[in-house]
Amino acid sequence: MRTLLAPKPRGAPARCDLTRWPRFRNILQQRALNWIVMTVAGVAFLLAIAAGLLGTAAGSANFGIVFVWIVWWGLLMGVLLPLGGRLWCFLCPIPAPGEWLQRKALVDAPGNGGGDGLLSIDDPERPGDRWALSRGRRWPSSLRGIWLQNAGFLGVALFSTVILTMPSVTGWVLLAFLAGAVGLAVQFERRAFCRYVCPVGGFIGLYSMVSPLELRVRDPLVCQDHRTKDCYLGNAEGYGCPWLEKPWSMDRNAYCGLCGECLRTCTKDNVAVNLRLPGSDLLVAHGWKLDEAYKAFIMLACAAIYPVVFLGPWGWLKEWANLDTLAGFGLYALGFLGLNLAAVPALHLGTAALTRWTAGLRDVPLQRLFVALAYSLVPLSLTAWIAFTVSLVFANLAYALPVLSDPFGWGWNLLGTRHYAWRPWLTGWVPSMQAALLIAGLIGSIVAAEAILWRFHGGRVAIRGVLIQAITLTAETAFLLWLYLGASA
Amino acid sequence: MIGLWRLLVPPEGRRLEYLARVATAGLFVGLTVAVLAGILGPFGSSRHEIGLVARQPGAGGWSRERIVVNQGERVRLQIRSEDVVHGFAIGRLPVDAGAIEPGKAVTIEFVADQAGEFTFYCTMWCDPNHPRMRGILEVRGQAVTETAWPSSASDILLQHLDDPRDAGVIPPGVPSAIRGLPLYGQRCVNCHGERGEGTARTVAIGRRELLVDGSPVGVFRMLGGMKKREGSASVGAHGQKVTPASRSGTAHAEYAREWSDQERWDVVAALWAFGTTADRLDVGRRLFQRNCAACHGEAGRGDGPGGRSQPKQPADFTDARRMLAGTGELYTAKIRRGGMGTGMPYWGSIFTEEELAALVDYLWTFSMVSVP
Repeated sequence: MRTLLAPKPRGAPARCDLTRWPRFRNILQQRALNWIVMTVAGVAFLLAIAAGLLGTAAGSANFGIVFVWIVWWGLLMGVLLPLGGRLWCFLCPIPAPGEWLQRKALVDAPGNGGGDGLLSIDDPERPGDRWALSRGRRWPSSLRGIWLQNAGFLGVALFSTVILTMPSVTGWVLLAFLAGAVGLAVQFERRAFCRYVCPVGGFIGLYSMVSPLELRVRDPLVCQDHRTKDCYLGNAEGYGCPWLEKPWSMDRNAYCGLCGECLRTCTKDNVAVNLRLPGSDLLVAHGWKLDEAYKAFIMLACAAIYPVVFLGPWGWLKEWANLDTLAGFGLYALGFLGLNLAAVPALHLGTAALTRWTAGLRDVPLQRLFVALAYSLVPLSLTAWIAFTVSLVFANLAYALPVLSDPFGWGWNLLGTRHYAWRPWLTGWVPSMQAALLIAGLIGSIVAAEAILWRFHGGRVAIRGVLIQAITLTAETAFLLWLYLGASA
Repeated sequence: MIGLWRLLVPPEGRRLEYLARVATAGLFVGLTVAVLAGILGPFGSSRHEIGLVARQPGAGGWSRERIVVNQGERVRLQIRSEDVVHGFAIGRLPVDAGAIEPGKAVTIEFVADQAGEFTFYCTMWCDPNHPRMRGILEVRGQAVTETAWPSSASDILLQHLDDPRDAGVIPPGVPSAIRGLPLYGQRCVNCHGERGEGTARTVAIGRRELLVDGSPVGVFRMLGGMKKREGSASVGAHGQKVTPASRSGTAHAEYAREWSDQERWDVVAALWAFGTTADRLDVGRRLFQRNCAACHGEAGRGDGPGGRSQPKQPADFTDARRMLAGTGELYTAKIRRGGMGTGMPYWGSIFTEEELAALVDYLWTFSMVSVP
């Protein structure tokens, strides 16, 4: 089992270099590719904002609600994220206007008029740049990491019953995302919004670590001898990494937005897009950070809260979450934040301490073990989210067809599908799918926990420790199974 | 500004960039134009289609309180619901859009051929204040149809509309036209006809006015009045004041006298059944289910969920002591006027005379078993 997750040396057979195919590589290197996908997505995004703000208040008939929270969410959680990691970040239109302003170009490379010079998007002080549209500041070091993303996600999740059901609120939230991305692009270098602020980007980054798709350098030794670091600084063919990643040392997907700039700027043809066996990024020890660990706790806690609030039979809780009364919402917020920030982390701190004691890992600092073992939750929480998405999407996807014809709910019938009647799809299969997903997630998490513990000491010690983790993860899975298949069925 | 200018107008030799800018700008402008066209289309200034948005009364109710059209104009209404299932109908006009599901738009067309003011209203229980969800359709033209208050409602009746009613006697069992019809057939049919239509020499006791002008308990007492202690030269066969047409009926006084109280009540129910028809009861049932059942309950017990939020508990139509003491005219007037502080809305501007009659007929079925 461990061999599935252990990092492979570069070029090992477990990786399939998709960019070996010249045609595919050529497509990825086209500068227009990003503009095309972001513009297409941008039209849908703007339509969602317009429908949210101007269209019908009935969520099931509003493009903003149906296409953001059902179609996009289903596509993200069901396809893009588990199969492509940060593939959505490649498509996402939110940073596009800001980035176009920074570069003063929609398509062109720096060598063809887009920006001036190699440090075209993060050096406003360079001489001759009279027309700089971005101040290009460095992001404050105190705000680095994904704490802001954690807070943003918690905020969105806390108000999700309102955001997900009221088109106008969805419209304003999307508009705030857009304004935030543009505002930060004007002030700071590169994609500061995506890297440090975007609430969605935070969990996509976490889950991209189990994705089978990765962008890596083929041979780090080639990069060592390459002094100009074009992939980070940019050159005439492309811009420096918008995500502020250093491809030559990148061994996790977490902060690679798959934008392909490094494929264009690398003069050594040393950047590849690979298919791989998923999960190896979770074991990269130098990547284990407390902010990411907390992201894992938050995602697990929310994966348990969402089915309760959205699918469960507890109407009073739904009313609390729906801001029906301030006192009720206050209690809900207290419980929500308490579970996310205290209860789930405390549970895992306890199991980490027990694991440390049982496995005889006294020389490993508890905090280090606590943070490392949080990464073992990623497969389980991802499959729990997919399980939630399965019930959400199959029950509501039928709304998409009438909404395509009548995005604002104004009585249009653009494509002739306005009268398509709603009906849930594959409802008989949903419980089986959810059970299979959660059990697969449990297996993945136990494997990850074993591999993480093996990294500390290996052998029999890991087996003793993983027993504690397995018991905890199994109990959590049983609880999630009860929520999805019992209480919410 | 100069920066923006440079962004929009590329230097020479940047064909792809230029195309991208034009395409992006075109998409943005196109989307904006499409949205503006939508805003200014059916829900804006179009002359031919009137947009109407339904929201729960607490959230604003109808988006238009008054719709003004010209007589003879072909009106095209597009109605959409913003929150829950609503309905749309126009009182006294054959216009009913049916259910309007949230987010769905329903379009109806009709010719406004009658001038006057008509009430349009929600036909689905949508909110505790659902009965207040009304608006006015004003059809401008030469002749103005008075719809606010029918002339048939007398001032005296209005003054006594809210007087307490008590039949004084309660039927031992629910009066049944099913049981009463054989009794009628045995004792009355020869003189009064198959359905109480009467003859040249006898009273038409099966006419609808019997229970419009008189209460069931009044008819019951009339039947009971044939007892000798109440009889006199001026009292007819059934105890009523003698009219020339019925004077000959005195010969059959003993028929009614032999009936028990329950049997007399059953005959009252049978007489009432003569005054209505199955079709009218069906119309009344549909009107009741759509407009009244939410508060008065499907079985008319005054226990509908909507009644809980009303200032006064809705009337219980199965309360025989109360119901059997009223007349059809009284109930018609109460429905027209509404409940003055009880929470019951007025229906005078919505129901036609035929609909009111059908509804009142149906109300009797809660205290008297229906016809076979």
